[in-house]
Amino acid sequence: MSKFYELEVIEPDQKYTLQDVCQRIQLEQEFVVQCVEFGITEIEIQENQDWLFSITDILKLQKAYRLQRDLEIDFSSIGLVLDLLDDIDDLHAQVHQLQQQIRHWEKRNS
Amino acid sequence: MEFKDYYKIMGVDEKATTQDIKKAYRKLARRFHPDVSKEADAEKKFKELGEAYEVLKDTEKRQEYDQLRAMGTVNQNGEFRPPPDWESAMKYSTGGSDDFSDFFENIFGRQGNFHRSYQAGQTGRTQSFSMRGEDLHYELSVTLENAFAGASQALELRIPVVDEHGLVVHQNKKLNVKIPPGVGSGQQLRLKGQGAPGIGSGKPGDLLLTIKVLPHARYAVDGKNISLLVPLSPWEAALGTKVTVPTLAGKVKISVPPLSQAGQKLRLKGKGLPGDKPGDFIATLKIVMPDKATDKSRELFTALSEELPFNPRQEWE
Repeated sequence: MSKFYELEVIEPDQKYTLQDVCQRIQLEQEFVVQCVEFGITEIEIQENQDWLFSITDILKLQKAYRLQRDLEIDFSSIGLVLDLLDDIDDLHAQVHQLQQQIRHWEKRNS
Repeated sequence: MEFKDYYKIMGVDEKATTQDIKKAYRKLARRFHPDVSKEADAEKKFKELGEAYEVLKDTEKRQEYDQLRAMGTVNQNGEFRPPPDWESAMKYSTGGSDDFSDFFENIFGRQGNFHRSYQAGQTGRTQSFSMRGEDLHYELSVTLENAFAGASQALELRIPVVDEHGLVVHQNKKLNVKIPPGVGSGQQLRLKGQGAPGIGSGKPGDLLLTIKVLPHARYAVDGKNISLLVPLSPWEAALGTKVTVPTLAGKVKISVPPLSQAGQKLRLKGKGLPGDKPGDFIATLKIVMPDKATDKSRELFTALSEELPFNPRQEWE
């Protein structure tokens, strides 16, 4: 039997510094700074002006990077695209839930 | 090797201009980009597209491909054979993506990104250069039962690795992971040190997994809350009753108060997905009419309507 790895739950409030982020996902600092300035991720700014990123911010930065690299999308549009993609995901989840409810009603009524 | 029809992949004519090809690429890239597309095989299609574009946008590569396409043969097993004595002029070129098909690699050689500046000497950096490996991110689909109780699951990942030539290659990696009980959709999990390997003495990155709870036939899941429709007969709703409800933790008896309405929600605190902040189990009431009637039942309903005059559409008046 091969080894089983225990997965560790990442708490949503766990934060990373700018340097940490650049190293973890190997993005240029300049790119990350631009993303923040264009509001692609809304980060937390500490009293000493240090930037703190959550894991959700990091995943967003990665997505932003791929979109820019593959589709040549500029910074102002990346924010729009990511927001719309989030909205679509929410709508899909809602539609799915509603469909499920409808199926339940139909099943009970048939 | 299997022949790849790059023109077909890109949906363009053999006579298409570089401009047409660029246009087609942009259009299809938007459609199949794995971050954008909802199609199941988007990633595969996007890779194929990238490969086709890599060849067709480059005049030299395209010429070579056209020759091969015209002169090569396909045998009975669907295997493509280049013409005899054929040899690519471009075997040693670099650049492009690193995850191309056998077909591509056979024609144009194995190409990889010269992995940024990792190769010693490339940027004047010495052998002692080290860097932490990248964190890799994947989505992990789990059934609701497994999300509730926790489970062991086998994962198959493609991990980028820098080979001895400084090229990035992808390796398949199998991992068995233990999912802790009570994970909800969107929950992030980490596996330390299982991301991309580090460079030099750099530590490997982490593997990040985002949980996606699969749809369930009986329950609906919203974050950490689990909900279920509970059908009631009209008289149960009118008089109140006790109903045994199947939750993921076993059967639970709930009290339905008299004069309950359809759509009313009964909340069982903490009976949803477990955890530090457990979710709730939400029973949504639904009233179902029997599909049969007898003379006696019609009589009783008539008596009821006389006893309890009620207009449910009062707000329309």
